[in-house]
Amino acid sequence: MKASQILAFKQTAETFLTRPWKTYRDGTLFYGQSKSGNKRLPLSTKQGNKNFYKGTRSSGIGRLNKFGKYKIDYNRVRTFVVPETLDECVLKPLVSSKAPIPKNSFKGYDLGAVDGRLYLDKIKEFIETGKTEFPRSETYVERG
Amino acid sequence: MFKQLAKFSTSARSLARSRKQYRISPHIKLRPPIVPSIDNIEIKEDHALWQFFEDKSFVRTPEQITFTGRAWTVQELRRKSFEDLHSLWYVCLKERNKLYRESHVYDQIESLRSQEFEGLSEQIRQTMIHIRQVITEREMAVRNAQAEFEVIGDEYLDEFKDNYLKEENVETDEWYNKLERLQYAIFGIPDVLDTSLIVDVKFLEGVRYIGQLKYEKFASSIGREDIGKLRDIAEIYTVFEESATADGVKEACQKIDEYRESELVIPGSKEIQVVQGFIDDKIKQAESDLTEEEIKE
Repeated sequence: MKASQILAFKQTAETFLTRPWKTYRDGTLFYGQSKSGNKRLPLSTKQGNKNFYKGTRSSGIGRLNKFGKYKIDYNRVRTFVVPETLDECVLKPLVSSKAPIPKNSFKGYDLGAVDGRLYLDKIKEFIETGKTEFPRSETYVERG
Repeated sequence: MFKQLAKFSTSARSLARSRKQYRISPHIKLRPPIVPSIDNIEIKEDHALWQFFEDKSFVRTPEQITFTGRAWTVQELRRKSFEDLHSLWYVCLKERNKLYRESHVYDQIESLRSQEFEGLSEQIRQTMIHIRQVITEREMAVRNAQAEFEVIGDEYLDEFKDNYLKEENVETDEWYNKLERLQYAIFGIPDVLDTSLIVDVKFLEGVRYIGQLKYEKFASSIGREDIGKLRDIAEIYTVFEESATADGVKEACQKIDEYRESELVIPGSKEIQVVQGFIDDKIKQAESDLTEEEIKE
C-alpha cells in the first residue's frame, strides 16, 4: 500500500477538498497556476469524453424534420422584451456622486424589504389613496 | 447589327465562344466596376447597428468618458416603477455594448486605454445587479404577502365592507375608484375586461365579494329585499356587472327577476365556464356595436 493512501485516509473531508494538489520532490507544497496545478476547474466545451456534451446553451431551438431540414420552434427561441417607452426614458446608467444616498427604515417589519405585511400595507394604502408620488424626506430616511 | 460583348466577365467570354452564341442584350450598358471603398457605401441613418456607437463616432477617447458618477443604489431603485427599472436595464445594456466595442478597439492596438472603458462598464454592471436585487425583493415580497393575506385577508375585507356599508353616500367618484382599486389589487380584476382575460377561482371570489357588497348596500334603499339571498353566480355577476349605484342595482334586480322565472340554478362546478361565457358575450356585443357604428359613419 502506498503511503499517500494512508495519509489521505487520516485527513478530514474538508481538508481533503482544500488540499494543495502538488508537492515538489523534496516534499514542500506547491501552490499557484501551472499545467498540472488545480484540476478542479469547470470543464470547457472542448473537454470531456465522447459522452459529455457541454454546449453553449445556444442551440436546441428546433428539430430536424424527415427531409433533413431544420425547423425552428419559435416557442423555444429566446426573446428579449424591450420596453415600449425606452425612447422616453430619461434615466442614465450612473448617477452623480454628489447625490445623497437615501436610507430605508423597516421599523415594525421583521423581514425588511421582503416583508409580506409591509407589502399588504402598501396595497391598503393604494386602495385608499390611489397612486401617489413617492414622499421625499429631508433626512433621506424613507420607508422601504 | 453590332453585338456588345461583356468585357469584365470571363464567364461571358466563355459563353460567347459556346455554340449557343450567347450575347448580352445591346440595350444593357456596361459600366466600369464600382471600386470598393468606404466612400461608396451608404449607410442608413437609422441603421440598427448605430446603437453600438456614440454619436456615430468610431471610438471615444478616455477623456470623453471620464464621468465621476456612481452606480444607482438599491435604496434609490426601490422608489422606481417596473417600467422605469425595465427601461433603465436596457439603457445600461446599450451603454455597456458601446463600451465593450470601444474597449475591444483599444485592445486590438494593445492600448491600456481599454481598461478605462472596462472600469466604467463594471460600474454600470453594478447598477444592473442592483436592479435585479430590487426585482427579486419585490417577487419575494409578493409571495410573502400572499401567504400573509391567507391569514389576515378576511379581516381586512370585512373591515372594508363595514366601512362601505356604514358610509352614507357611496355614489361618489372616491368610492367608485376605491372599489375599482380593491378589485384590481386583491382579486386581479382589471377595470376594462378584454379577450385575454381568463376567469379563475380568484376572479370568482372577487365577483362574489363585490356583487354581495353592492347588493347589501342598496337592497334596502331600493326596496328589493324580497329577492332575499342571491342564489347563484349568475345573479351575483349581474349585480357585479352593473354600476355601484342604487339605479344600477335596481336594474340588476329586474334582470334577476327575469332569470328566476326560468328556475335555473348554476352548480358550483360550472361557475367558471358560465362567467367566462358572460364576459365573452359582452365583449362580442361591444365589438359588434363598434362595427355597426363604423358602418353608419
